Amino acid sequence: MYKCFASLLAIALLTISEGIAQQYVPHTFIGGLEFPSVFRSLISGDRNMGEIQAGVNVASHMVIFEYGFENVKHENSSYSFKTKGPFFRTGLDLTLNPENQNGNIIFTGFRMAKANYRNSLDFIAQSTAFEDPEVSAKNDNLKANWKEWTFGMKVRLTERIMIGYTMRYKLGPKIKGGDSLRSFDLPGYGRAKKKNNFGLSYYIHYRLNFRKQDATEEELINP
Amino acid sequence: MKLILLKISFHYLIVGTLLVACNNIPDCDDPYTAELIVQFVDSLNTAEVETILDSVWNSGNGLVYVENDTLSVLFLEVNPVETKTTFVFSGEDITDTLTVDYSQTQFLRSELCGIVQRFSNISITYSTFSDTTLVTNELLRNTINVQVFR
Repeated sequence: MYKCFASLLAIALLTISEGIAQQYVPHTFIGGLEFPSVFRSLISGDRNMGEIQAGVNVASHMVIFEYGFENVKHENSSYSFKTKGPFFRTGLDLTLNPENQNGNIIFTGFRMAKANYRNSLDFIAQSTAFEDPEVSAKNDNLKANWKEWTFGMKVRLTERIMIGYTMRYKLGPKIKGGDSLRSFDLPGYGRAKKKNNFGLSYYIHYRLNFRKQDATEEELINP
Repeated sequence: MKLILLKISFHYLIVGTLLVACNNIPDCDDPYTAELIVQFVDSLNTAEVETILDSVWNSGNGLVYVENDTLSVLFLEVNPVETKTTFVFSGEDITDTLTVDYSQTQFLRSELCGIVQRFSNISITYSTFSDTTLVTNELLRNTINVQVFR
């Protein structure tokens, strides 16, 4: 799997370097909001999350930064397990249709993701000898990282507004810390025990062209 | 003919998917326990020996595990809140104390199965028995942890 990532990275670097040599014009910034997470947070008290995305173009591709947070709670009458923390992702989206004239984009890319989080557990241990022993455990400084392969589309709604989705194949989670209390959820990843996971994010983007004078009209339409 | 085959394949696909989906009942069994298993053995041939016990209790809270019984294997629950438990043995030819230290690991196995508590890194930190051996340093079902030679 790492060979796959290395190949993807090599192709990306080659494509970018070629693109930079030919037409490096950083002219477009996008800011995005993962909007379904807002609604999910409103209707579910057990899972609160939010995510924003920012990107700047490199030739016809986009360098992407993503920031989000996730608070997850699993509870029943005998236990309460909480996980809380932010996550960050950075990577590159390679535009697969740079010749497209209408501004709609199909892309693939990768992300390096990281989460700093904490978790806590309160539960009543099953015991025949001790009467309802209450056990508490927590980790305040957990770190996790993983990689993602992405594929998605962005469709232009207006001159400045775009809407789109990103499919994510997440893999290789590594967790530091938490020897006495194992992680159940990783913010931004999902179940910690899964070696790979899928995700789907829907974004609404605002596009800002900040170097009109250096960009050709075609590049502005199709960054 | 092709259409019929296609329909049959489609139905098999649906039924197969349902069977796989319905068979998703989690197995909540785990090998972990909170009981320290102590075995009395003969110091000459390590055969199990029965021992007359008046009582075995927890020195921390006075909890009595065994009272007026003759046993060769004892199941003694450790304190799930602490990392140390002391047991006091009293019997016909026995008045001894055994203290074990341990570390705990907790994890949520699944939302349905709930929390699993695992006791490991067991060590005998204090013993007045003439000879004891730590056999297994993790509390697992049906696994002897401590052998007391008599």
